[in-house]
Amino acid sequence: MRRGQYYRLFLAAAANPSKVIAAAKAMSLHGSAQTEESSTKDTTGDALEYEVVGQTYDISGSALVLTPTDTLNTGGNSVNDMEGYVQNTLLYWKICLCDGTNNRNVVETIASGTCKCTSLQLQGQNKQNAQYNYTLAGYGTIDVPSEPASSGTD
Amino acid sequence: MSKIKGQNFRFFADIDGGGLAAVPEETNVSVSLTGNTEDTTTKDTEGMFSQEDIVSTAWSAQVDSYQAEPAQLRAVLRTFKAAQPVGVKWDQTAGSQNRVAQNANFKRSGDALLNDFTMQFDDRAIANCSLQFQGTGALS
Repeated sequence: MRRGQYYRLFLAAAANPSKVIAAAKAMSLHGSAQTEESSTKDTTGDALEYEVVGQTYDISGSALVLTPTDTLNTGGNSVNDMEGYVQNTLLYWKICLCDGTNNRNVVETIASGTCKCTSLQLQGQNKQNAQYNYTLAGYGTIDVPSEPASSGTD
Repeated sequence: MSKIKGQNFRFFADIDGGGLAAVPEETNVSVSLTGNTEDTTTKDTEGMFSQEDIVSTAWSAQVDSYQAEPAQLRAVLRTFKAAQPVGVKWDQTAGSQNRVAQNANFKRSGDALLNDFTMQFDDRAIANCSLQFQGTGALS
């Protein structure tokens, strides 16, 4: 089992993103396939058959709002950067297992791709850290690196 | 009464061509079987009640787990991208890590599409992965 803080999202408007989401709290990758029933009169039995006719994915998460001078913003995406992404800009992402200082040193890449930032919500609740939530809509396919030769599955 | 505990009710899937294997670090499995009905009531039917025939069946499964090793997550992503049915089964298990199938009477197997997944990575919480399968074809 691994804890979630070791998986970081890197995001940038240029290929090979190297900036994490600064002060990230949570992040999830969700994929969904659209299926269509493909049973015909030629199908044996009553069980329905399905085929995949489309696939989508999105990445969503939350992070704390830092002051512009906070040092964590150095080398990371601040809320100001995220605000700039909410336009029709193609963004490059990758999700990596990380370690080291501030959990920003890449150990392994899980997946990468391109996306558009479709949602940014800022929240400022009394006596709570201000935070923001974001949603990235996947654009195209997810790229998955091949396995290292010594890698196992369990 | 011989009860099956939840930890002994496990879901196996052929993820990324690795062969049928128990979903690692599984925490929950939920299997749904659905009979789709059609009203067959006619003028010859007596009484006010409709009469339902099951005209087709479908099944699906959701599996939640703490699997979060990089290779495991990449295998899930490759299986999703392939968009092809994979072999699955559920069974009563025992033995090391509850992974040895016992071929219980309620064992079922078939092919299914991995049609939905969520990988959750929260600060100070165990990373987890949820998989949803849509059965394609009959169970055996």
